[in-house]
Amino acid sequence: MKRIGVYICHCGTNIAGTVDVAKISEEIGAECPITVCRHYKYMCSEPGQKLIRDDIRELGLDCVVEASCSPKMHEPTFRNAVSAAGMNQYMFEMVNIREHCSWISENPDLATRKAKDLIRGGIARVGHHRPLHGSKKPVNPKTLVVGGGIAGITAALKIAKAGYKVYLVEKDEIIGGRMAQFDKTFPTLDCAGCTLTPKTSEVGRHPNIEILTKSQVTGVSGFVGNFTVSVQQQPRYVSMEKCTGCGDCQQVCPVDVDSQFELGMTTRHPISRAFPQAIPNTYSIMRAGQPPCENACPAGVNVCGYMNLAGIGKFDEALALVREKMPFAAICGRICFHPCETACKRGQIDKPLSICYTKRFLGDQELQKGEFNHPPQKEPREDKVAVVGAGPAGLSAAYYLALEGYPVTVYEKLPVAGGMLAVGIPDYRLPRDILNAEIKNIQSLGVTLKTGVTFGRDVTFESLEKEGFKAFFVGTGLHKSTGLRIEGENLEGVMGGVDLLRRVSLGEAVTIGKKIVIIGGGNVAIDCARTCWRLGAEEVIILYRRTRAEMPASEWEIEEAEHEGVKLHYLAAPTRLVGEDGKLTALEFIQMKLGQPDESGRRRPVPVEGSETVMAVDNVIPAIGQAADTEILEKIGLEVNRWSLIQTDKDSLATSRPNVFAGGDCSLGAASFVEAVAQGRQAARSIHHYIAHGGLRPIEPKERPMDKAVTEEERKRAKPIERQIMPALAVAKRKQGFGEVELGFTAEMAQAEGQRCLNCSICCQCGECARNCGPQAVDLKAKERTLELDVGAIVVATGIDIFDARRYPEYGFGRYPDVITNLQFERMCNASGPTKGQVICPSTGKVPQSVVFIQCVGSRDPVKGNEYCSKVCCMITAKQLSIFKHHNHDGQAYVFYIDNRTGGKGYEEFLRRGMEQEKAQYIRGRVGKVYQEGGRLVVRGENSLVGGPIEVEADLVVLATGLVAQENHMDVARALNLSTDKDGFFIELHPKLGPVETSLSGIYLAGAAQGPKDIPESVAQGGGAAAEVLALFGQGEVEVEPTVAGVNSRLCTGCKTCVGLCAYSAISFDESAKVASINEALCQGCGTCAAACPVAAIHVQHYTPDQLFAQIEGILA
Amino acid sequence: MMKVSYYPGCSLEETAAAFDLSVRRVCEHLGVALEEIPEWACCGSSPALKMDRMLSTSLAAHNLAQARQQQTEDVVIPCPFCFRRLLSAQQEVQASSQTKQRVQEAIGAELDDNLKVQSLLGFLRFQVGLEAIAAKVRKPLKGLRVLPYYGCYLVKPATVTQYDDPENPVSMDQLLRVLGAEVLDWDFKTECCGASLAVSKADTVCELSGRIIREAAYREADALVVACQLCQANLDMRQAQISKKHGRKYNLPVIYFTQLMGLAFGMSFKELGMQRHLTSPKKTLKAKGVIQ
Repeated sequence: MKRIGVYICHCGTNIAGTVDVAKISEEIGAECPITVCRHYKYMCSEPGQKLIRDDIRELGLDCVVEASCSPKMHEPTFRNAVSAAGMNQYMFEMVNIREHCSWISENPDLATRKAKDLIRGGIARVGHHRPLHGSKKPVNPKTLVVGGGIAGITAALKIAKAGYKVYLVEKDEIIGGRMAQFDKTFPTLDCAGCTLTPKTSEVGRHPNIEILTKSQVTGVSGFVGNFTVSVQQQPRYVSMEKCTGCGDCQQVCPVDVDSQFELGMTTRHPISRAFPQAIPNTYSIMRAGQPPCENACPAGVNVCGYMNLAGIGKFDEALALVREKMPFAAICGRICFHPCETACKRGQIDKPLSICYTKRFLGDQELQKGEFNHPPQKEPREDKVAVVGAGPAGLSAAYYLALEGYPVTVYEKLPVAGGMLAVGIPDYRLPRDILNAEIKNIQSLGVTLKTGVTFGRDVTFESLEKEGFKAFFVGTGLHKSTGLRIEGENLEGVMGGVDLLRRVSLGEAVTIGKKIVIIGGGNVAIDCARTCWRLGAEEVIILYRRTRAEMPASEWEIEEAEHEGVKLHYLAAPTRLVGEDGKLTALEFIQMKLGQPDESGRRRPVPVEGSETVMAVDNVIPAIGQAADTEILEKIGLEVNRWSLIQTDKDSLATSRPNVFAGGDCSLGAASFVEAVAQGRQAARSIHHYIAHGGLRPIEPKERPMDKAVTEEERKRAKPIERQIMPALAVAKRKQGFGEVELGFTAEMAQAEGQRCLNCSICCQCGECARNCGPQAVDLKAKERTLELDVGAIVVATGIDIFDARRYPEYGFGRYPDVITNLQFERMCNASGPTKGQVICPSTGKVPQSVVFIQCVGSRDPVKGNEYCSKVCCMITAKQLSIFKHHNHDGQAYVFYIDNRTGGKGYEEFLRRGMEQEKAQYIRGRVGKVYQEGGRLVVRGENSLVGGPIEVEADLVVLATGLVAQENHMDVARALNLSTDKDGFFIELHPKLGPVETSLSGIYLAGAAQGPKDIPESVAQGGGAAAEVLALFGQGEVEVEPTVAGVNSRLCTGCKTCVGLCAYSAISFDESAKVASINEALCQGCGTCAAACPVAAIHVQHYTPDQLFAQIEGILA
Repeated sequence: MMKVSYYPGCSLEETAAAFDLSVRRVCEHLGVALEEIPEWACCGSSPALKMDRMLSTSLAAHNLAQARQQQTEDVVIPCPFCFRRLLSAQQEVQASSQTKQRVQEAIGAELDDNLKVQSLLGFLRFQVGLEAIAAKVRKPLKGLRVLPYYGCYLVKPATVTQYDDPENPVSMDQLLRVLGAEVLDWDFKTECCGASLAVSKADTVCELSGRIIREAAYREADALVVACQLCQANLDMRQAQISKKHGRKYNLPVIYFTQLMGLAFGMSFKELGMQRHLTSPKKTLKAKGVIQ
């Protein structure tokens, strides 16, 4: 029989006012099998605790039951008390008869009964308690401070000064937070900069503090004293070590975007520094992500970059940027299917940038000048590389290998180089002199071209290896037309589409009749049609088995063909070719209708029975597909897939032969020019790694693509320039031959197009800054990185956002330039702000005479804003009207307020000074509307003290916008497992006694992230958080509570239900034993797993079923 | 041809006959058949609304029940007051089955919850749509500087009307822009014109309407465009009085938006009843080349 002591607390009148404590004490003492039962006015006080300690010693108690307040309040107090008397603290049980009973009961009799029942439950339970012992773990004395505002800075400095390492993680480019934006502080009108910048610079200099800017916490694991935190860091693109802060870079940056630091009141360059005293004191680049154009380009050409350079007339630099990913500018600018333009966000506003034609202009003007722009070529290397096939893929590989310094020889079967560019694309789309010039350009880098050499016959891998070639790139094409597989295919007058184009391109004599039918819906079909029309055909018809919507050919190509008189016959498929004496005379075709979508997502055409029609024709040109010359592929001896295409690794383009890489049509199937070029470059990089390092190249992380939806800011940035229209050759002139149809942009047109760019990626990586940086500090290739930091404590000081005044459209913010927020007013007063410290009306630039301040915008308004009071706005307004009066002594300030809440040292006096000395008119009432009448702003509100409406004319209206939780507060909450209140502020452990702790030990709060605060409060809380951290570090080790879950592996069936449920990732699955396994260090003892386990294999210590059932039985007894 | 029930309301029969005329002409032109609700009665707006809510709701419900017989899906109402009353009544009976039962007993007819009660402006803007309207424009109102004035009732309260922003409505702006007019922006779109005080406090009306007229003149508008016959009457009729008070002569035509639609569609001045306005729009429209 255990010896149990029961102690009942009166808690003053909190409990005893409702519960008859003396009565139940007596009854329990008489009824229950216990040793002693006592009651006392305040059990938590020293005499109360002593009572327990003495009884343990003198009566030899085994267990103690304490009936008083919530365990959240005093369980630790009493656990310490029993421990002090030598009892294991887990032999103690706390019964809550205050929050759960006296406070919520009105009927004293019922409350007394309930209290008694609860206590009986505790007595029954404690008999089943067992002594438990937690383990000790050392504390890692490093701290992570999240948020570089004044609260975070204070905490970081205090901890660092005590000699401990601090990581200060800040999501912006600089530290200082909101305070860095303020001009003066209340109630002393101290300069915010003068008080903050010494602190930020101290942080910057402190050897114990490591600042991580542009960083965000993405996850945490571990437990108090031993956390591992994942931090994602966006690149600054400017080395903090090398940057001298000279500012040369921003002089040359062509891009202007709204400055967020200046709240949109002025612009900044993507490369900039918020203000001259900012910490870190170096420049950095803002980039939103990979722009859609670059993302859409198969070759990954930096479209934004070269368009912006074109926009400022730097055509040579623009071209050099194109060449980093695309060797052919003039060619690409003519024939690319430009997915970049489809993706261009400007297309959502009016029309996309004319990217392709601008690139063509860049290429053409280079050809005109005769001077080529290449990325720098590296020192010559010894190892020779052979390229098979002089098409776009092969030439691209050759180009990038040559730039890397390799001697390259290209072997081509045809008598001309260029592949499909030379023999697939007709002259009118790509003049041969342009093609030849760009090929020559590649040759000028030292690339040897050998045409008329058939690989596999004239040369082989083995023969070339003997000649000293170290690696190969195979970029052969698909030069065979796919047959129709219908009767009469071998008749004279039937000619494959690719064959026709090749023969015309090579200058062979091709005779065609008057009426030609082309079969197919791709670009080859269109090219054939337009070629036949130029060869003199009178009627050219394209037969396509689906409708125009499904046609794979580019829309503009179809339009051009129609423009030239080519007829399109949809939903028709050939069934038979009719001939006489071996010569084609007619074509029989059948009507189709669209059925269910097939695997490509397009609706499958189905023949309409009995709808066969015969049409007399002279020629039929099937253009339904291309195939590789399988004979050659077989001879090469590389592994091919079931479509007879060379099998390659998708990232490295390696083939089954170690020194051979392949790309383009021979491995992709019929692909586009730009895809082929992309693969050529990709292979060149792999070949370089293969030769230089003897292995495959590492896969580089790709930049995160940015959001595709157009933002309001981007709309604002769209310059009112229309898309330039490509001048084209008149249709009448086209028939005279294969002269180029599109005539090209002028320099002005190219420049205009460049200026149309929305700069949606913010920085376009045009490289102007990098070229002009003396110390070479700019690295545009920097990538986002993820850091894993091991720390013992975390301080969360992520601060606040400002309420969006647009949610009160009646106040006209965003509509009238003279309606501003108080933070904008603050920037205006600041000497380094957008107006250099002048308080002016943004619309006119004049000094305002009448300024109206509107209080509680978004605060104390459950209907449109937030229910809570933002706490600081009354004082901010009092401060700002004082500053205004100091700027303009004759000016008049009006304040529409609900109540003036100025609790704080010197605050009320400061407000009174604003009213009495600055003569501000305080009008008690809400504002209904801010409107323009007769060209002036009028503020209409209620004067609730007078009881009537009031209208005040204003030159400037300042909205006292409330404080709200950070926009991304949920990301932080999720990353750190913090709980938030309904407004998004982080919840502290206890509203009074634990204002800086959270329910997660080792994670502390500081500043306004916990709730609206002014500077002194934030600083105080920052100090408080630092004290908590230092107290933890002072202990040196932490006790891991023994109240954790444990698995009975004999019962566990291995269903893994618990694994997915654990919020702390404490449960793993032991694959060898096929049972769940719990990491006691991570387990928080929440019990979710125990409740969920279908076979009751998991128990939480101190919350075992026998204890819980005993308690229930005790209560119900 | 789109068939809808049409509830003209009392004022469109008399003082605002021009509104009714232009509505009918324009709808016909757009291929909308307006079927006048048979035996329609007072909408219950005033004074019933002030004296007896049940009576008011029952009156409105009577009209809805009558419309139900026409087997249309929509009831289109030009008068903002009638629109609000019929729509509110419908929402009241939808919200409470008890009210519905009492109302149905009072009017001796069944009500249909699915009937869509629409203001004429909302109907033309959203159901007929800007594209269909644009397709009918023959004589774009090029160069005509207009200020859309919605009045207090048409879009408020947003919880009832639900088709436009109650503070800054834009549906009429969009519609007028499609007609080719130069639509000016201002903050007086939903300011009170004082119509409800027309009899009791003429001075206040003059002040409230006067502000609207003065602001329109300041913005150098050629015309105010309205969608409410009471706003029209008030702003049109009181201009002489206001001019006297302000010590300057105003001559600002106050035109129904349907009349401008008619003009843009190629209809004549008289066909749309425009000669009935006290401040004649003739001179301005001629000067701008809208009419000959």
